[in-house]
Amino acid sequence: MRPCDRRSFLKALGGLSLPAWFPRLAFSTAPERQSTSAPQRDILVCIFQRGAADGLNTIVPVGDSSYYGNRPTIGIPEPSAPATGGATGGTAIDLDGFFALHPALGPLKPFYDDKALAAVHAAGSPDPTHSHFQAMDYMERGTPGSQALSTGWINRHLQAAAGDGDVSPFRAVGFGTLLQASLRGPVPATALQSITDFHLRGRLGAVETFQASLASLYADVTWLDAQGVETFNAINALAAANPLAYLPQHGAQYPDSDFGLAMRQVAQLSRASLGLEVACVDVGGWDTHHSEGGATGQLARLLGDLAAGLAAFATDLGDRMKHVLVVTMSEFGRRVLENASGGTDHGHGNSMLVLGGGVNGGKVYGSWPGLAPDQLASPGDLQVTTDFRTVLAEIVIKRLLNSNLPAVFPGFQAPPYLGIVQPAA
Amino acid sequence: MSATALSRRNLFTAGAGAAFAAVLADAASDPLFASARPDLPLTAWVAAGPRPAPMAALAAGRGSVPSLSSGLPPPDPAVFLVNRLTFGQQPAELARAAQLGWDGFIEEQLNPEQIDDSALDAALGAFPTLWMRPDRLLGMDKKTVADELAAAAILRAIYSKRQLLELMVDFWTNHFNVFGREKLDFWLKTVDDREVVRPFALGKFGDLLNASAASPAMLSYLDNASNTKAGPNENYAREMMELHTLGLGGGQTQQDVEQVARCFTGWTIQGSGPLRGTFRFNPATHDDSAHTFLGETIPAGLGMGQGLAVLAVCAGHPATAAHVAGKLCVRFVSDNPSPALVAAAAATFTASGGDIREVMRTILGSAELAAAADQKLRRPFEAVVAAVRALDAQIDAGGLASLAGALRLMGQLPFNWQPPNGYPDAGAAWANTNGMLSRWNLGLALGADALSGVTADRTFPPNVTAAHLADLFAGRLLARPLLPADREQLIVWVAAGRPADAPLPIGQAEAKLPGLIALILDSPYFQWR
Repeated sequence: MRPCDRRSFLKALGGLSLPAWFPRLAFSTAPERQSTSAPQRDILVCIFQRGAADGLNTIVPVGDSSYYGNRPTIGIPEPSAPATGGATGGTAIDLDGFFALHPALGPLKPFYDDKALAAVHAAGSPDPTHSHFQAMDYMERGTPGSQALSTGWINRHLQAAAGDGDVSPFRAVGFGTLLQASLRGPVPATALQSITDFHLRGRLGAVETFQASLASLYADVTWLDAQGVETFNAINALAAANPLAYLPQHGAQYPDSDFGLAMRQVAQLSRASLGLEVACVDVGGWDTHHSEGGATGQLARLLGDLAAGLAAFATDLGDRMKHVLVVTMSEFGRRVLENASGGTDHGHGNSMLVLGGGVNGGKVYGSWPGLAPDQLASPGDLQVTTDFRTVLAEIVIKRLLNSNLPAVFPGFQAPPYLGIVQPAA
Repeated sequence: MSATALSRRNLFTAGAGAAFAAVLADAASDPLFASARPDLPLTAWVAAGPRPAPMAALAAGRGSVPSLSSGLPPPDPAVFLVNRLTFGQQPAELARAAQLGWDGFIEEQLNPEQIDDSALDAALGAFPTLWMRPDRLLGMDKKTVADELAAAAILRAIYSKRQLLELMVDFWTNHFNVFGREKLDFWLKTVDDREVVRPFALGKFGDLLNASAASPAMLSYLDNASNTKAGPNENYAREMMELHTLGLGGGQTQQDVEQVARCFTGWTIQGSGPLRGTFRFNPATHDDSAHTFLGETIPAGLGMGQGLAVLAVCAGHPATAAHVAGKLCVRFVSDNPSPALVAAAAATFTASGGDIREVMRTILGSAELAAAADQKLRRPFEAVVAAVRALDAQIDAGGLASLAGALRLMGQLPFNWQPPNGYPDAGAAWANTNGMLSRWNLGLALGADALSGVTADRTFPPNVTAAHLADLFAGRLLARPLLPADREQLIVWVAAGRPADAPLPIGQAEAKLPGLIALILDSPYFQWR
């Protein structure tokens, strides 16, 4: 077997019959829509920080008089502090006099200054669980405290937003070997690791026949057949659209990491005529019970990767960010008081980031509950003053143009929005 | 149901439970079964012999057959049993099951200490780090140690005669997950595998739990090594209750987590000297005051006994019995086991004092297992190992590295799952576009002998016809009947326009074999355990 030459592979595949949705899709994507006056839906990029990221050391409340007492060794030095701790340490980067960015998030500061980036603090789930798996499950279903619905909130959004029978397998993409729970449900979603490798490997001339034969073995209507059919559709759509032709623009430099690769591929998919509406990207390693570090160390490395990937993505897409919205979330935050291992245990309230052309950025949103002992949630956690669904609901309505909130977040009475995004134009 | 009415679509729409049972009942007389592989010794599994005992119970179990249907004619019961109790059928195990019968095969596999595994033991000699003391291990290159452990896991799954034991080891490896590629666990997971998971995999749950709690690999992974009186760390306490014992909703509260964390203060790892890397209880950092959890008081002054007392309460708790029994049923029976089966397994767990072998006897002896063909999707690890076993492939040291590389891409390299909950078990977690494509590409690679160091048995008799070749390899790799239309697809692939029953030019047979093997390994038939 020799590796398949990409170009001839695509040429050969061009002869394959395409799914029924394909021709129409090719004329229904962004550039054409721009010529009309109807508002255009954002592409949503949902980033999940698995393991409970420390929001207090991400968007740092340097103005809270209790912060440094709780974080004697891992606290992030305030912006005005002399830069001790070595050349790479640094101090927090001031945002509004009260909150400051972790120094590793420096690459995001220009976007904050450009009002493309906002943060929400003391956000999270109203459910008090401190279990990673339960909290992730609730957050991805979009139903805190309930597992009654088996579908994810993004899949329900896609169901509700399905306009005219658009069933591109690339409406929703999850990066990784396992599909994100938020994407699970009746609307097909594609899981992929690498666009480059997303095809059957084999000798040219034989692999096309092979694919046809294999497809005939997945021609029934069972659950597994359906998985097979979704996979063939995704292979064919990707080959036809060839997103690899889109190279990073504007000098964007993606970090050489799983996250960087995923964000680079989201950018490629969003440029190709694939009808991408939602992409989910996971980034792991945030469960910093031990040796979390402060301005440098474990968390700083994680945040550095996150910031570099986000900054490269926004730089790469440039003007296209007008119609792209990135939101970060994590299952819960971490304990206010650091532990004896130089880390933090499971907490509650957290920070979220929202990035995109439609964001009312340059601001940290939310009502700050404070870090004094009597202001904490049990057993010593940042309170949640903004339900994560409040942030997402505003995005769903204003940027994804889906007003059917009861379908997306059933039972949720959204409070007045924070005004974190503008209505889509 | 008549044989002519049997089709995937009928099976799917006729009501899965009834259709499934009816197909099983008709299997022996169904001409489909006899015609699919007319010239294979394995046909004996379909047509001949008395049905194993649990089949009689099958009719009674119709109501509990899960609703998922593969739409495929089910494998012969003995093939199914071997597939479910091993990492994938092979002629040797099929013959053994034929000799021992259903219950006899289960019983033999439940007593691995009586099965000679010396050939595997000799092969494992290639991995010296498996047997090293912790202090010596810690002086080795960390990647070498971690790679040898992963290679050994693959080798054992492929070649061990103690197949059920290896499945149990895999189960507990995930239940007591330790990410083997971070911090000290590059080295110490090897000790955990050798001294915690493997010795107790069919033993007493309480012994396994105690060993895990004191395992330096676990102490490092869930941070208990730094859990001290001056600064408690809750990580192990929380996950021990949520994942290892009581389960979510087992009644524990945040306050219980804090109290249990204090009971485990001082459980740490020896940092230096000849005992470096072994368990150490440090009284100086242990909070020996009284603690309460789940309404029980752990008295002051017990020292290390406080943690042991907590483990004893957890191991004997009804929530633990239900949680562990439920996970075992999901692993061995179906993604949606009946509450009755879980309750029966939990009752055995409690009555036997957490005897894992007894719990397995209950689960494997159940009518629900006998009716659970095509209810468990092979995860990537199971798919890779089953393919190598079915292909009777020769593996050299480089081949194990190739397989490890494939498993990494497919998302299930052993000991490489970072969160503490272990690799997901249910098929829905794995059957996405990426999962389907990566297993298809594995089949293509194996079919083409493109994995370095992995060489399949590709022998076939002279003057073979397209139909013969298709039947021969479908029989070897699947050992289960095919729908006529699917068999036809395989024959068409091989024949490539020639008559199906005319002898093939040898060049054509050889040219078509890689794709044929890939089609079979990539087909829906092969994806089920």
